[in-house]
Amino acid sequence: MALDPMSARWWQGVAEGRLLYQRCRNCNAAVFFPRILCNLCHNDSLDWCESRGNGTIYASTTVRRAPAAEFASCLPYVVALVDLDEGFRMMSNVIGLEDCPSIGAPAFLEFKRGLNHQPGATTEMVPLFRMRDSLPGDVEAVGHA
Amino acid sequence: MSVGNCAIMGVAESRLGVVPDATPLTLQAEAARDALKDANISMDRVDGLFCAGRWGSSFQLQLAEYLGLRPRYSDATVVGGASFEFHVAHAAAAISAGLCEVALILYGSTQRSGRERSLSAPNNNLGFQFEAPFGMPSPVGAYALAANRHMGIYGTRPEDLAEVAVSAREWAALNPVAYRRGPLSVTDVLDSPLVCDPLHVLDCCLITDGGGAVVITSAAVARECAKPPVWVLGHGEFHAHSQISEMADLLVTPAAVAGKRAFEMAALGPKDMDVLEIYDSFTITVLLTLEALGFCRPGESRHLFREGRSSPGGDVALNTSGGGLSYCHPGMFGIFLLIEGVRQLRGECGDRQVRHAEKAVVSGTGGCLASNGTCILAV
Repeated sequence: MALDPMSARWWQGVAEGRLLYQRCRNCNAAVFFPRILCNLCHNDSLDWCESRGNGTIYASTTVRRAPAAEFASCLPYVVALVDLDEGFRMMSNVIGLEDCPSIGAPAFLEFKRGLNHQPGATTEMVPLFRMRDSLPGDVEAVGHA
Repeated sequence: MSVGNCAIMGVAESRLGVVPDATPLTLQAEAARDALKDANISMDRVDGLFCAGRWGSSFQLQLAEYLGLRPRYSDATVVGGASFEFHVAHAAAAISAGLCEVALILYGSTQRSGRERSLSAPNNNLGFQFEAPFGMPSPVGAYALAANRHMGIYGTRPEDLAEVAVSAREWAALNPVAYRRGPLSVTDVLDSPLVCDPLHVLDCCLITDGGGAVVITSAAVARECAKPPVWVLGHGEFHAHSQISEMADLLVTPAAVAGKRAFEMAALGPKDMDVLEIYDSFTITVLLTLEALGFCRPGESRHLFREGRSSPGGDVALNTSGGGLSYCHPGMFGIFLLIEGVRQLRGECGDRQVRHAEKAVVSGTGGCLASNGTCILAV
């Protein structure tokens, strides 16, 4: 799946359970997806950084028609744009719910098997998000109550 | 009378709807023949060729070969459905620079009969690997994300989106070649299946076959033509992202920049426009574009569809062909916006003719809200 050395590095981070992004040494912008230069100031000195995985929902949609056969068994599912606290935005799924979460609601990173996981696929885990009220820990707490 | 450096002198559609015996080339040839006939210019005078599509590689070579053209200037800029508004801008620049004199803009697709449409995005671009694992149908999912944010930030409701489709259908009912002409209510739209919340099937454009052609000439050639010139008074284009996760603000489309440039070039503003042809790939596209172009304040475009304002006879003459939602949408719709805008300014639109139509804005949006080309036309 990785098409260049920068994205290969990023997917390697995913395989290690780390959400990587880049930070520009010149303008301090967070850069995602990975590039060889800053897409804000065009400087070519970027450092790799690791996100803490905390963000907020920028926008979301519940998908009810699969774009390809391998997603069909997962319907419906939520696709979201998540603004990470470090200052970059990424697309992901919000797991554990079917209705769109509120804009601005906090979302938390988890590495999970992706929706389109195929047996034998190289990238088994992908960065996904959960809302606070559907965190596994909270579910357990309710279960014990 | 307005005068510019160049004018649209001929427009035509090919056969539309379901045309199983056609190919993209034959549909474009039909449209080219008829648009040149409309302009009263022979095909051998065409010296500029502009085209876009997804039907092959090097399609401007194939088109020139098929039609027997020998263009001295050609451009196959492909920025999605807005390509043809970009082509108008590029043709105007080329004509002004003396690089060509009679420019032919073409499009054709057998998307419906050929079953070319897919909800899978192309997988050959670098950035797509950062969206692909999450299963967003493209482009509808991208527009759904924008609609979700428009609702969350501005309080827009699904009913407001549906009004855009209802208005388009009312105009389509007056267009003999529109694909869907039967009555449509807000309830019908809301009762149609959801594809990506909040967008229903009837919030989405049609999937049809079809082609179109536009002939643009220098002012000198325009004086020789059969019909009155439709002057290109202004044009603007803009793009800054390809995939939706890279769009800086989902509520500010590229039309904000492109529209400003077009209006400034024409020394006109939204209030001066008699006819609005606004790309309606999805209902939300129209709301976002009207706001970006300055026809209302951000978040308030829904009011333009209230109480029949955008219906035939209302004060907002919008998407008078029935648009991509009800008239036709063969994959890219931008050329059909131009065709209808020109016909309205010429007074050729029969039952759906807008009274006193002298100035039109044509605004095409392509990709995942990625590109916008806006043209200001006038007679």
